[in-house]
Amino acid sequence: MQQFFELVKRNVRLYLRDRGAVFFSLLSMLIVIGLMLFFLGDMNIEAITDILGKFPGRDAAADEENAKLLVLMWTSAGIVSINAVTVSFASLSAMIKDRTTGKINSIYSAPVSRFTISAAYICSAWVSSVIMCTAALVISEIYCVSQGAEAFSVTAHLQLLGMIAVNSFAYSSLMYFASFLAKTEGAWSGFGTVAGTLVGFLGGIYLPIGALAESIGNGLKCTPIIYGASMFRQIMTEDMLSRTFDGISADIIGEYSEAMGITLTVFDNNVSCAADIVILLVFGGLFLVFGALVTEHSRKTDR
Amino acid sequence: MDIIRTEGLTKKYGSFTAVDGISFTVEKGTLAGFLGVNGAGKSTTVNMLSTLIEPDGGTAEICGMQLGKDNGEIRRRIGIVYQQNCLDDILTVRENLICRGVLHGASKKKAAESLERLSGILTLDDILGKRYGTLSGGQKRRCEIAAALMHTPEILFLDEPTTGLDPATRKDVWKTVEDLRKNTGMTVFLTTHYMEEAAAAGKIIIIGKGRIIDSGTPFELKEKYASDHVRIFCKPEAVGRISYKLAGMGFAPERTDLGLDFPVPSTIEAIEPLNEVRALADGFEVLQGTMDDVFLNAAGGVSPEK
Repeated sequence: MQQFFELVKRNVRLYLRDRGAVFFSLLSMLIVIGLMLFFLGDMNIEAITDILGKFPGRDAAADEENAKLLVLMWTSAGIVSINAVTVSFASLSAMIKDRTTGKINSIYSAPVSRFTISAAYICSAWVSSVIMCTAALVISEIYCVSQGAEAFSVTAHLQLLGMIAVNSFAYSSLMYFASFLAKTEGAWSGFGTVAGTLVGFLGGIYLPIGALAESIGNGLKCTPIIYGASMFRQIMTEDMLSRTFDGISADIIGEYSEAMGITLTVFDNNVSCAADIVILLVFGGLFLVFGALVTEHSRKTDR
Repeated sequence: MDIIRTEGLTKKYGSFTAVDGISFTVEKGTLAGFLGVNGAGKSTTVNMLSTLIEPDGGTAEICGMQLGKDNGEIRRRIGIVYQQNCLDDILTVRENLICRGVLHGASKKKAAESLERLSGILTLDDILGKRYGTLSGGQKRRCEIAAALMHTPEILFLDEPTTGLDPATRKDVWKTVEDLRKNTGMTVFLTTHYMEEAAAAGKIIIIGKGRIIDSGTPFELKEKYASDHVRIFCKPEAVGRISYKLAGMGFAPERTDLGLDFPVPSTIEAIEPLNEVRALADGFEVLQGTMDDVFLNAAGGVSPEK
């Protein structure tokens, strides 16, 4: 076990000390912030004020202020969700480098099983992801509170930490499996660019699911990414959603939540947070098994 | 006592046989050189012996352990220095070495003790806190050697450890290895194509196209593959008479600017012809065959014993 933890420590250090890797793993987050700041933020705020404007007697200024905070929270949830993908990817770059430079042989020559070595890579991607997602959550929360939002309750914090752990597990497993498809550092880097961009769309983070055609929206529901984003949104926007839509019927709140991917409906049933977690756990577990199978296959075919 | 013993060790990649039934032994505490051209099967053999790849045939015993059955135990008893640097650029030397020590089964405390001991022997004290990536080529190599020794192995495998280094650094690294071996009595298994490095080995095993071509001490191999030369310095008018005498004894002298040059099977066999032409010559020198000759004649020629 000491060897496992030493390897995890090594891999996490390699990620956190590589400024380039840290920067690029946060690039998707910066793209989301840029998109919201310069293009989509106002559109999302207007969508809310348009709904609220239909109800007479409301304080338009307060509604707009609440709408801004709600969109801020919604964006923050997307950022925390997307970071798990990009950080897992960047953290596993160390493994790709180990493989392509032959460094891996010096690790394989130690009396440590290949299963332990693989598990250490996955675990270090998970640890890096949890650290960065937690940091993103903390920074987002501080910013949102500074803008007038309420801080999350202790329970919400614990729920969010648990969700970060599950989301990070799912993407660490997926990225570990995907790493076997990349034979060179260049291929891995290219994959990362595609994955980072794709996940923003698949998770309904760049554009809300309601802004897409229904068929595309249904397609997104077949991928687990949107469930991760939804899970964070449910907790992070809960307070602002009730504040913003105070006095508005539950049906309208439900419609809005669905359009923004806060809640997801599958076969006319709302997908709960618990179901989101199960979906991500199954997804992560599946890729963990695939990864183990590929590891065993590569061990047998190694030169 | 043999610390490495292989019998018919074989590795195939599809229809290509990288290592073809090699058998050899290495005695404990010695420096063994594994000599061969690129692609001869040196690294594949080291990778098999260090349990990185599974042989397709044959057996090997390392430190009394059976390859394939006791791989974990073998890994605990061997250290490997690869041709390429394997430590991490953005970790400090201390972090790198402690990590490698723990990976090889040492506790943190033991790894720290090993680090202290090795940093003295390999003069790492001043660079322990520096990031590995900022070190010079020689310092990096010393760190790689230290990493392979953190768990005090019984055998140190050096897979072309000085390739790509400048001559001064190469000499420095090689002195480090020699000192270490003399001080600790550790067995060193060296793969190389640098002849001067192989010449320091107690035993040399020559491999070509996956087969053992020959093995022996540097002296034995020189005797076999590298003929000595006798160079006779004489006045131009004496050349003809000396040539006549040497030809009569069965030698084949060739004229040079300074006199004559002729090959002899061994150094000792230079005495008789020299005595014969002593009165006519101004001087002489016996040039011993070099490991370069051995390498070119044995490894290049590829004429397997089996």
